[in-house]
Amino acid sequence: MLELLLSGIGTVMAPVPLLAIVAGILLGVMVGAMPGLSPSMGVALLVPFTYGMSPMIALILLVAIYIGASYGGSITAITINAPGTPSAVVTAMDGYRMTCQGRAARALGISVVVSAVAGVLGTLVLIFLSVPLAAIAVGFHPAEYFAMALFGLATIASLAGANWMKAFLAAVLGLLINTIGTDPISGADRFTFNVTRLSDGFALIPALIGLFALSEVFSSIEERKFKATSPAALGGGWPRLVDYWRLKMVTLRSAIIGTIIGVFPGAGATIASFISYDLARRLSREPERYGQGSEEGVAAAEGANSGSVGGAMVPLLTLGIPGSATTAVLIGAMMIHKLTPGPQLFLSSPELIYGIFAAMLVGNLALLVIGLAGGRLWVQVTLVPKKVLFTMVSMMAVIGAYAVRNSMFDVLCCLGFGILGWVLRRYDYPLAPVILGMVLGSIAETNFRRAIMMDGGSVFFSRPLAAIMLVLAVLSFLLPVLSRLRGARVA
Amino acid sequence: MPISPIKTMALGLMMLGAVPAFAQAPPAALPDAGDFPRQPIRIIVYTSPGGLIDFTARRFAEIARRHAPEQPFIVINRPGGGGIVAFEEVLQQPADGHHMLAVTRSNISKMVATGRDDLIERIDWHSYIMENPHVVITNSARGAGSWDEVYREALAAGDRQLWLGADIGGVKHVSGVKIARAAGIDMRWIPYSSGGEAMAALLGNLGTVYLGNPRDALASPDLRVVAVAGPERLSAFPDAPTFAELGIPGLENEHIWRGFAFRQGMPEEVRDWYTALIRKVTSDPDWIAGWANEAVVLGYRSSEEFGRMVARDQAEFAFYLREMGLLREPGSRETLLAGIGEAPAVHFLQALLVILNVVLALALLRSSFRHRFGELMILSVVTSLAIVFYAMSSALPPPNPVDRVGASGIPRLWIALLLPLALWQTWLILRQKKDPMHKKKPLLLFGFLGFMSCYVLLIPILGYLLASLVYLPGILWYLKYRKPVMIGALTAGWLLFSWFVFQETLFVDLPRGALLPALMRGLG
Repeated sequence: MLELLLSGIGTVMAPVPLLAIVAGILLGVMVGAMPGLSPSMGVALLVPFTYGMSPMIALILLVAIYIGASYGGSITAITINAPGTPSAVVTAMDGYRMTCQGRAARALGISVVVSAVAGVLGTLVLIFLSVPLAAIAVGFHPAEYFAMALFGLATIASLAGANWMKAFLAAVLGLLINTIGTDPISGADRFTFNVTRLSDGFALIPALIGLFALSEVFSSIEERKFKATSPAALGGGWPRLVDYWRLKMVTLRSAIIGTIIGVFPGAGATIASFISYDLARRLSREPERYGQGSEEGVAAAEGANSGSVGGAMVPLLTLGIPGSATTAVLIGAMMIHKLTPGPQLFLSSPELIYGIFAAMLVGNLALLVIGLAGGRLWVQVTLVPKKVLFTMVSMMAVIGAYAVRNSMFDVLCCLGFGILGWVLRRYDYPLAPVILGMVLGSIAETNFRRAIMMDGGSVFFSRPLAAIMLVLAVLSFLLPVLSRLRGARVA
Repeated sequence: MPISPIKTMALGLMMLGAVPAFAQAPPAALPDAGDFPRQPIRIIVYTSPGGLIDFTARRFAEIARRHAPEQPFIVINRPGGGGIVAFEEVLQQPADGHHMLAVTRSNISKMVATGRDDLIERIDWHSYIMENPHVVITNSARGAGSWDEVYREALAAGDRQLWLGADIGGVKHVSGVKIARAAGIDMRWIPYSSGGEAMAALLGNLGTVYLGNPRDALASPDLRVVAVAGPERLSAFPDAPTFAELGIPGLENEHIWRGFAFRQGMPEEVRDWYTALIRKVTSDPDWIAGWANEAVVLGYRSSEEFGRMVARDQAEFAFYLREMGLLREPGSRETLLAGIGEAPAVHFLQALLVILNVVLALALLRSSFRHRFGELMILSVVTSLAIVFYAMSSALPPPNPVDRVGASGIPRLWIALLLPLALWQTWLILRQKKDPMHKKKPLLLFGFLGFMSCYVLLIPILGYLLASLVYLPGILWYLKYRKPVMIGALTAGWLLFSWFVFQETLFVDLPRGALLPALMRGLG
């Protein structure tokens, strides 16, 4: 295996593959940083340009775009509170707070370094443990998926802070919004009011842009926060090596969580980011700083997000099954290049597989260089006069929401979610639980019903893993709530 | 495990087998269609990127560019409603042939299931290009390795044999029901969000059968095709018998087809241009070779034959979906509101709640709680919405012995959680006498919101670029940013950026607006 990997690295360290990696990372970062464009859209847009390339170069380019785009979402999350992907919501919670405190450079630095390190770790897990991990992933029963989603939802208790009632309300609102659309099991339209555009529910990206970016603009205008950030406030703000070293455990843990959860088809980076953030907070010596601009919080979210890229590649390469929207596009790209992903590809074209592995390792290093260099540029966004910035964010929100499905309906929804977010923010309702409910609601419901259809209600107790995970999920939800209630009573 | 030499040979043979379909040589050049195409041709795909139809459209676009180099072919994904969103979008465009739809048999089942047969009737089903039969795939390493074993297990399991697949009421679900009936067994269909997830579950031995496309079985050596729902064996899987060979007739046409369609009313010369182009592409050696590993049956059928296939499928899906209880027929379900008519009752409830919220808003503005106006109104609106959802949920499919939770179960659970939380929160607010935190002055914001709302509403009328040209300097001026040169530069920069990046590079069709074309028509 090592021989193959070294040979793969040798293949990648040539001018053309290196150029493909650098170009892919650059394009990916730009796609990810543009609200409305997801990593899967970025990869799909570039597929036609790979027709004339060799399969190796084409896949290296597309995988590099995937890595770059997965990171790119954090840039706008940190600088303007516009997470490009649901998983970047967690990055925004502390990252944008750091920007408001004049620590944007630190947040950007941490996010890129942790992303790159977690990406490398996730790739190493992919290389050495993909087969056993894939075997575990396929055996995961819907009862266990349900428990995993519940685990994700249980993080609300941590996100809640002092306003746990409001956090629950926000989460249940997200869960209820999530029920709008076609019922995944019976196929019936639920609460769509005969609006065709609602048959798949609300598109997540316009909702994200509205809830976070627009509501931030609205709140700032209401509070007339037009004071420009002083350039001096940014000077010398980049983290030093010792700062990254301090985050080593969080990075390692979040990378592992991201990779493992990313392996499960349909679970993905969002659950990974929330669970990783929750765990980091619980194990932290300074849990009270989470949500207030914690560096550990940014690292926990970004590490899991980047680690999940390697995880999602596990079912793709070992089983030929897409683990995420982007890997579904990668399967299509492989088919265009007459490759059938799956175990036989390891035997028929090992040089290609190990070339991809090597490209992922080198790609993450390239991300580090490009991200740190680009960070100097991104951080300038915070120096833009606020009146201009707010206007440009509103323009970006409109075109970003429209670009998702070329739909003015989505733009209206984005504006609606913006107003909702502003009102919720105004009265101290946290916004992340709304997104958590919107993302995890369908995973929880579908797998709950699917599990019962397959093996009856007793399956949640008869499968030990499901039972243990459920108990842990319930405990992780109840313990913080009970401790807060007890604290309130003592006070 | 590499594909065995037999499989490789068989795939080659299958490729050759496709050749007779193109025995009649395609025209040497595309017929003259006047100045068509005048703009890039957009191939609308009804799914997100990834998946077989998306891949089909992208491969078609790639080869079509070589045969018709005048204009680019652009693949655009318009997911939503199983194709309804994509169909509606094409039907809103002029019937000039610049928007083509990549269609599959799944669209027919979805339109029928949702009562949108009108969309089927308004489409020009232009060209059928390929199909693949549905195949029964098992996990031979851990479960049944032949149809006979599947059959015997089904007899022992009663209705508890699990068949995994995508989409409820979709093509494969209907085929699964037909196969089970024809074989005289019961099965329980477990719908997954995607074929990939269902296959993963099969590999994890969570079900007995996965009903899918033949190419799905190429992913893992553990997967085995045990029966083919087609007229003959597949050359890629020569050991897999057809159902007819297994003594189960009537399952020769369980397949998924793919093709291209347009809005009806396209000029005849453009139709002929497309006929020639599609035949050229589907006869292209690269097209044929590109499908060699995918276990599909290539072919070309004209619009008459394709239209007849669609009509037959429409009737068949209507029959089976009705039998399966998945056809949406108003008034067919017992509901809480059945006595007074479900739709009028919900409309009455909605109107009542709107009036109550307006009255509450007016009352709050005059009360001592006006500093919490926004929060109380949000709680009131959310509570009202939950009540409306509860009333509407009574019309959803009720729980049944297999899906014991039903479509309404989970929404009702969330509603049951939401209502007490909202009431409790309201109680907490009412107990607070005064909150000095919210003495904000939102007038500037309301102006900004008004500007932005007008901008969003003006885009469909003026078009994106023109509306932005008005909005951007206007809103900066409103926010008291008084640097005319900067405002001009920002506006010009943004318009160029959005046009070049979104319209030209990412092929996002920015709205052109209804006003200018109407004016041009008026002047012309």
